Amino acid sequence: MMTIYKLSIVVSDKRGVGGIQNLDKKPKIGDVLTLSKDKQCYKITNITEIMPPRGHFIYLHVICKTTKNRS
Amino acid sequence: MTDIQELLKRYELFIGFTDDMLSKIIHLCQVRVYEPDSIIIEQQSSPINFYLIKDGTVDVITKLNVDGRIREMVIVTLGAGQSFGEMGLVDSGLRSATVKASALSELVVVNSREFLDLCEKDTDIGYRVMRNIAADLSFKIRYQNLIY
Repeated sequence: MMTIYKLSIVVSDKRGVGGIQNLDKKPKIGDVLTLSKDKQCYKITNITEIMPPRGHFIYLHVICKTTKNRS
Repeated sequence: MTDIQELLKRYELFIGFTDDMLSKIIHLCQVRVYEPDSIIIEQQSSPINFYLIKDGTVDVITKLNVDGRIREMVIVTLGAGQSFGEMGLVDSGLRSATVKASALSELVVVNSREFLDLCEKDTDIGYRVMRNIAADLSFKIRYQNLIY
């Protein structure tokens, strides 16, 4: 079974902006995420484990900051 | 192995399920398509179904009373591989939020009563479901604690 990365996403420079996303690929610092809520691009600046893995799910907390690019 | 059975493995609700257990769930699943902006769940309505997002995105919206004015606030946007409406399986309470399709969305819809009947009949399934729901709610609480 393929590993699924469940992300808790918080944008550090925008209060209250974030989301929950599932990814098939392990995220890394410097990757750019697009939040479906506002279609804005955000660069990952920090990644920590938010909960221990369960089954094929890995739970990560990701902190992002705004980039100038729009999707 | 059916396509829907393979799809169900992508949801946390079914972590730890055997193929035999999943085969009992697929009979309860219906796939429905929702147009953008269509309301899937209305806040304060009774919990009839829970939902697995196959494709698309949905906004979870709460109504807040701010200085006597009712304001709508998107508390989270959920996408493929995520679920919503499962709190009703635990407490049977009225819906705590409205859920609206924010894009063309394809959802797997499961009737809560039929699902709970299966959980009570097959307690091995019931135990795994309740543990998985508890873990998912824990994740969502941790997220809420971190975002504000």
